[in-house]
Formats: sequence, C-alpha cells, structure tokens
Amino acid sequence: MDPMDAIRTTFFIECDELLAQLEEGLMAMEQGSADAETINSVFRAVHSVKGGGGAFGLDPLVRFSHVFETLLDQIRSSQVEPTEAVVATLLRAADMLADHVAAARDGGVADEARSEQIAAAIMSHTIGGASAAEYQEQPAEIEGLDFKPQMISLDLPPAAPADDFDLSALLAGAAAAPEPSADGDADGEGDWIVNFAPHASLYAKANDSVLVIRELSGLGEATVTYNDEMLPTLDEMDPAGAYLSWTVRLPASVHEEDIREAFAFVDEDCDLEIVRDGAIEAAGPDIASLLAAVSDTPAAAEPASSVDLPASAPADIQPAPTPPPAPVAAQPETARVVSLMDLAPPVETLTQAAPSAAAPAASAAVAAGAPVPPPPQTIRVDLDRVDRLINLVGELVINQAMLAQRVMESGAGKATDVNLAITDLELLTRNIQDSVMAIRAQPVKSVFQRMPRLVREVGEATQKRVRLITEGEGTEVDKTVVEKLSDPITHMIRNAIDHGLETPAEREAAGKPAEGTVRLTAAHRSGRIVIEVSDDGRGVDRARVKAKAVEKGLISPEAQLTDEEIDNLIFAPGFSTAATVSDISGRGVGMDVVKRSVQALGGRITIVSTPGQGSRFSLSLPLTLAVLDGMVVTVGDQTLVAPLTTIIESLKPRAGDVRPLGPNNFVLKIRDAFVPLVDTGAALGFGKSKFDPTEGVALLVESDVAGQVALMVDHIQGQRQVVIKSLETNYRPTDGVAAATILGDGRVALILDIDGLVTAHRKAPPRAETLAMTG
Amino acid sequence: MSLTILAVDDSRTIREMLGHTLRQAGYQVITAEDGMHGLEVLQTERPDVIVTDINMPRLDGFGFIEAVRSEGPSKATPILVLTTESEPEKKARARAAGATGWIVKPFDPVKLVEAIRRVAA
Amino acid sequence: MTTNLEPLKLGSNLSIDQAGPLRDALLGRRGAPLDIDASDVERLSGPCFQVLASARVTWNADGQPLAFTTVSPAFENGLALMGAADWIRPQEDRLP
Repeated sequence: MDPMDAIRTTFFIECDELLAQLEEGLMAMEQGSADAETINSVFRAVHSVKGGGGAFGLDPLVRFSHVFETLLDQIRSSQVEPTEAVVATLLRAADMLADHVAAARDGGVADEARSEQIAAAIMSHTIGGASAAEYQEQPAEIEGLDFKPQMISLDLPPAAPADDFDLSALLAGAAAAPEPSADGDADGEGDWIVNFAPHASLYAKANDSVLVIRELSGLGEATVTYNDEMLPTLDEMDPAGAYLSWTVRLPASVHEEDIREAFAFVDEDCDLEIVRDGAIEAAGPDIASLLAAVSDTPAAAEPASSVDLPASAPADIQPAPTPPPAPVAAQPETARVVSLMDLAPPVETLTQAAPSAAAPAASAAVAAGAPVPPPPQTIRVDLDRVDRLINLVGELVINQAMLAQRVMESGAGKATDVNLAITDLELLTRNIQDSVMAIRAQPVKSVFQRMPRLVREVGEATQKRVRLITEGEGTEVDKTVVEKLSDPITHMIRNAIDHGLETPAEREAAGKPAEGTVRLTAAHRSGRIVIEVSDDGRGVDRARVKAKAVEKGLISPEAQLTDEEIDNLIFAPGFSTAATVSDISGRGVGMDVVKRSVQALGGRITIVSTPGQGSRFSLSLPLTLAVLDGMVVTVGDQTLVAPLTTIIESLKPRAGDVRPLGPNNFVLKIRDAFVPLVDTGAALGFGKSKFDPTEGVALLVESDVAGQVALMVDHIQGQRQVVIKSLETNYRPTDGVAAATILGDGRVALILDIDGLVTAHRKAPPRAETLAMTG
Repeated sequence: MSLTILAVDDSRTIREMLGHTLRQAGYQVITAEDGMHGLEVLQTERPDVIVTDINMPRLDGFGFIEAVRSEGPSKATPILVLTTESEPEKKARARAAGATGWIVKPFDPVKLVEAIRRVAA
Repeated sequence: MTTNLEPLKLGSNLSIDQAGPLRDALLGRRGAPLDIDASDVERLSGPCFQVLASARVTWNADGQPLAFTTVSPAFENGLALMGAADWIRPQEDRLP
C-alpha cells in the first residue's frame, strides 16, 4: 500500500477513536462533570481531527473543526461557561464532525447546509462571534512571524457568509503584500550589513549562532567578523553566557526576506540589525545613529579578530585584571573534578580518544535510575491472522479430543502416564483457547458509543426529552458478537423512545419528570453477555397489543393470555404496535426481525413490562460465536449437539407421563405441567426413530417460540465444548440446525437450533412413522 | 551518519506522517505519544532534534520542553514545536519554555525538513 | 612546538552544552603554554567557540602561547563561519 494511503487509513481509525473520546467527554459535561481534564480531552479530540484533516487537505472538515475548536478553547480557558445550551450545541457539533469525517472517508460531501447552520450555532456561543476579528489578526501575526514558508493558510474561514471572508482575506493579503517592496524603496544598492548579537536565551533554547551564520553564508558569499569586545577571560566567563557578536556582510543581490528568514527562530533572542552599506540617508534619525554605530563596528571589530594575538594585546583585555595563574588554576581544578563527574564526555577527551555518541547516552541512561514504567503497549494485527489462529486452535481442540479418544480406546488406564499427559494437554489446550479468544474480545463500548447520537436524533424527531444512561460499556465479548450487537440495540433503543416513552406533557401529567430515561447496560451473566435496554415510559399497552394481535390474526379473540404472553406478542412476526408506522421505528423492521437475528446468534430476547412504569428488554448472547458448550446426544445413527445453555434438565420419561395430543403430537407430563414432546429425528427429517419415548431420553429445553419443550433423543453421550463450524459458509442454512462441529472421533455432528427445531416440528406434516406408531 | 529525530505527538496519524516524511528525508525516527512518554524515551535515547506537539494528554508540549531543558543529557537538544496553533501567545509560551523553533501544521514535508536542517548541527 | 605538555584534545561534538566542561578543561591548563588538538572535532557550537575565543584572550593576557596543532575540516569550517579563519593561519605559516 502507498504509505500515504496507509496513513490515511490510520487517520480515519484514529478519528473514530477521537470522536468516541469527544462524545464521551461531552456526555460527561452534559451530566455536569466538566472537570478540566475532560474539557481538555474534548478539545484535544477536535484539535487532533483538525490536525490530521489539515494534513490531508480535508478543507470542509478542517473549517468546521476550527470553529468547533475555537469555542472549546474558550471553554477550556473559562471564557465561556459550558451551560446546558452550550453543551447541547457541542453535542450537535460532535455529530456534525462525525458526518464530516465519514464524508471525507467515503469521498463524499457532508450536508453543507447543516454544517453551516451548526457552525453558526457554535459561533453564537463563541466570544468574538463570527470570529471575523480572528481573521483580521492573522495577517498581523504572520508579519510578526516573518517565517514565510509557514504561512500556509491553516485557519480557513469558518462556514459563514463566504463573501465577507473572501473580502477580508483579500484586504489582508493586499495589506501584507506591499511591505517587502516598501523596504525595497530604501533603494540602497550597497551590500547588506547584518549585525547579530545573540542573547544568552538564544543558546538556552538550543539555537546556535554558528547555525544562524551558516544559514546566512548559504545565501551568498559572506564575510564574517566577530566582535569580542565584551568577552571576559575564561575564569570570569559564564559558559552559558553570550559575549560575542558578529557582523556578516552579504552581497547586495541577496533578498532581505531571506536574511530575516535565517533569524526566524532567534529574532527575539538577539539584537539584530539588517542594513545596506551606505544607505544612511534612507533611514530616520535614530536609525541613522544606529547605522553610524554599525559602520563603526566592523572597523573596530576587524582588527580585534584579524590582528594576530601575540603582537598586540587587545585593549579590552586590559581592564580585566588577570589573576595570578597558579591559584586560579588550582581552584577550578577541584571544581572541574565535580563537573567532570556530572558531564563526563568532554573531560574524557583529555585522556582518551573521542567518545562515541552512544557512550554518554548509555551512562546517562544508567544515571537516570529506575525508568518510569512505559504505558501499556498495543500492537495492531490484521484480523485475518487472528482468525487463522483461532481456526488453528479450533483444530487443536478437535485434535486433542481425538487423541484423548484414541488413547481411551487403546485401553490405557486412567492413571497411566499417557492419560495424565492427555489431561495436562487438555488443560493447556483450554488455556490456549481462552487466551486466543481473549485476543478477539472487545468491550461493547464501540457499540454503546453510537447510541447517544441515536438517542438525540430519535428524541428530536419524536419531540421527546430523553436521557441515556449507559452502564457496563467495558464488558468484553468476542469481536464477532460486538459487531452483531449494533442492530438489535439500535432497534431496542428506537423502540424504547418511540413506543416506550411518553411525550413531556404526558409524562408531567402522569407525575413523572418531563425527561424520560433510557438505560442501556451490559454485563456478563453465567457465561453469556446480557444487554438490557429499559425505559421509564408507559409500559406495554396490553389492551392495544392484544387487539392488534387479534386484528392481525396472530391470536384468536378468545385466547386467554398472561401479561407476559401479551408482552411477548410484540416479537411475533408481522407485529407492529404503532398505529401509524412512524418514521423512527417503522423502517420495515419489527421486533420480530430483531428477535430472529438475535436467535441466529444463539441469543435470546425477552421483555418485562410494568404498565405506567416502563419496559425492559433483555438480550442475552453467547460470549463467542466460535465455541459452544454442548450436550452431545445420539439420535438414530446421528450424533447431535444441543447448546447447553438451552437445556433445563434431562429425564427419562415414564410410560404414563406421555400423552397423545391430537393425532400426531404428544405431550410429556413433567411434575404438574405438560410440555410438547418433539421427536428430534422426525423434526429434522432424518432417520426413523421408533419414537417410543420411554426408551429414549427427553431433554427439557427452553425455546423462545413455544416455551418449554421436551426433545426426544436416543441417548446422551456427555457434555463437551465444541468448536463451531458455520454451515452457512460451508453448506447452506438448514432449519433446525445452527451449525456443525467436528467431534473427537473425527465425525461431523450437527449443532441444534432449538427454536428452529421446534418451529420445524410444528410445521412438520403428519409423518408415516408417527402414524405407524399410533396405528 | 544520519540524524535521529524524536517525534512526540498524541495523534497516531501525525506520528506516522512525521515518521514517513522524515525517513524519506533520510533521518532515523523515534516516536512518543505524549510529553511523559517523550521524557521516558529520552532516558535511553539521545535524538539530535526533537519535534513535539503542544496539546497532548498527561504532559503537554510546554511541560515537556521545560522538563527537557531543566536537566539531563538532552538539555541542549533543539526542540521544534509542531502545532496547528497560530496564536502568538502559544508560540511565546513555547519559546519561554525553551523551544528552539516551530513548524505550523499542516506541515509541508519540504518545510519540515528545512526547519530540522536549520536547527540541527 | 610551544610546550612539552600533551596537547589538549578536544572532543568530537563541541555542542552547546559542552561549553562549561570545555571551559573547565581549559582552565585546568592555565598558566602554561597550550597546544590544542582539534583533529577530532566534528561540530563546533557558538558557545564552545566563545570559550575558545576567551581562552585565546586569557592566554594572551597571561603572556602564554596558545596554538591549535592539528584541526579537522569541520573545525576549520566552524572557525571560518564564525569569522575566525585566522586563528589557525599563523600556525600554518609557522610549521614549515
């Protein structure tokens, strides 16, 4: 990949992180916890988006983020109070910024009208308003800078009446442009005389007179002289001081800007004069006197530096009384030892050859002592590699199981070395598997972060006031699961706001706060992740739901349903409670679709509702889609795996507990209840199970479509963790079968999809074998 | 012998960009994610020039420059401030802290290398 | 040769922060003729140049000779930039 493309990719990844950081910070501000670090991090997020955007020339993005950043900077410096209204604007701005980023990434254009509208809203809170003043300041600042190459217009005009800004920019340009030529009017054609006297601060900032003069020498043939008038003898000089000054004569053809450019970094840390030789009349009176001094200086300095030392002692040395050599030399000697220890390199040069650059660095590192622990390090790894690793570990698990089985078949005793080693291997394999899965584990945060925006938008569209509270966003789950969470959560939240929450007026009438609350939580519960979306709205309107279900023919008008059953009707295929299909929830997707997609992931969704107090949706999903704890069973000549999480208990039915229900169906009496009995083999349409329930084993499972159901199987082999191999990718989706796995003996076993199986059973036409059985 | 540049910036994008540009120009590049990290790096590395951002978490550019200038083997290492800030007072603060020079983002690769050449011995 | 003493050998990197140590090293040789070996110098900073200039002033005031015996091209170039090319010229004249 082109390196710039790679960096561009990095930029957009980073933008996502920064936007998340922004959102998080703004949410904290919204809740009133606007500490300095939060505001700083919010500022930095926008600032970094702008910085990167600038590097890629993403003008609309940079323009918008500049306006955004300006307000944040004023909040940061306590000039602007982050009131509720301001934070609300900032939140909208964050959404807009996300749109700009998305547009830039996809090569499109964000909604400019909206962008301008929000930018205007931001500026209405910004001191200095439309920041026109800011643009007037800019040219002035650039003049002061005197560093032309950096005049790249970084602060683009904000989205605002474009004409005004163009005009002011033009004016600014016009004002700035004539300046150099005005200088040229001095009309002196003599050589340039540059007088340069560094201050100690120049060296303290690691600037160097040598380098400045090197720059000047690069402009044309330079004649350099130094002036040591102020230079004391060694014992009196401060090594960090600045005593020497220089005069550099440059050809007349050199441009003044280029000379000034050489001093760009140091002009505040030196005395500087740049004049033309013999151009005195062009200057004002005080400049004339300066020039007089200047024209004297080279004359005075030249002898001082060019006249050879031994012949004539320069006048400036005389005032400095030279102390007797011996004692002075002795004193610094002791001082020197100390400083030698501190600053090893130069002194070593007295006795040894030049030290390598690495030596002082190394000794410095030792001297620095215990280093501060570095921040936790991360590496980026191509997901394909991780997936390959996971696949390999899956194979390893299978292989280990096969090995164990072979060993068992060989008749080796449990306590033999081989078997002990196998046990160790099994433990190790399990650990490797857990570690590998942990690589893919991600917090659900990435999904949760998208929800505040959704809440704002849905709230706006429905004219409802909503507060979103999130908990447990650090809960980790396999990456594949995280990706699949977004749609169901989005839908549950839309549903909660659109159908659950009342309008502010209704809420107040009901004695509730006008602002409704939607709570989104994630937690680990018995090896699964449970996501809950609850609201404090009106709860399920059961009368209406029931009427609707009757109308849609989902239930008979006479049906006696429990509250729970009514609530769960909203998951029934083709059900939609909104009297008019609203913009928000009614995008052709009902809760039934959500339910089905959740089930496809091996998950479950349920609702609990209390009229007048709200509803709670619970979504439970496996932590990973790669392995499964299963119950391995035999049906006919097939080995099947039932997900352990669905199994409530297993039992051997007694003859008296099995009762026929209609011509084709049976129910099983378990304690005081009857549950449908499903002939697993028949439902899957393979094999011919004799279907004598008393000869098999019943697995009591929890199905979503029909509550508890008993699945008849021939016998149970045991519990085992299996690696899931998708049937959809390797074969095709099949009713009643969720996936496949490879067992220790190398055989393929199907993993049951309980709900699919129960549905298939209900649809199954009367079959010959069942008829035969009854007949 | 090529010069080593330490680039300190909290933005991964900018770090990568600096790294790419400077390596193209023949420099060795080491990076740090913020001022604190930069100081840690300086315990073992001795860059010829440091390029740093201003707005960073944990320790910002001002604090980083002050800390580098206060003591240690990199006390006299040239430090270029890299920032989108164009406000004069930001630059004045960076100077007061001991910055050697500055580069305004978005930087032009040629200008960046030019600024480094200018302050590097 | 101006002295029997070992010449003072300058380090390769006479950077800004080496001005102090260089001054101390020179002061340690005060009161006697001094030969300076600058053959390893790869960089000469302004502050170190300043120390060397002060040393010349000091030795001169003490009435002692100070000379650069051998110089590297980088050192010579540094002196030229600072307007001090003549520091080493007299010595060249003296050598033959």
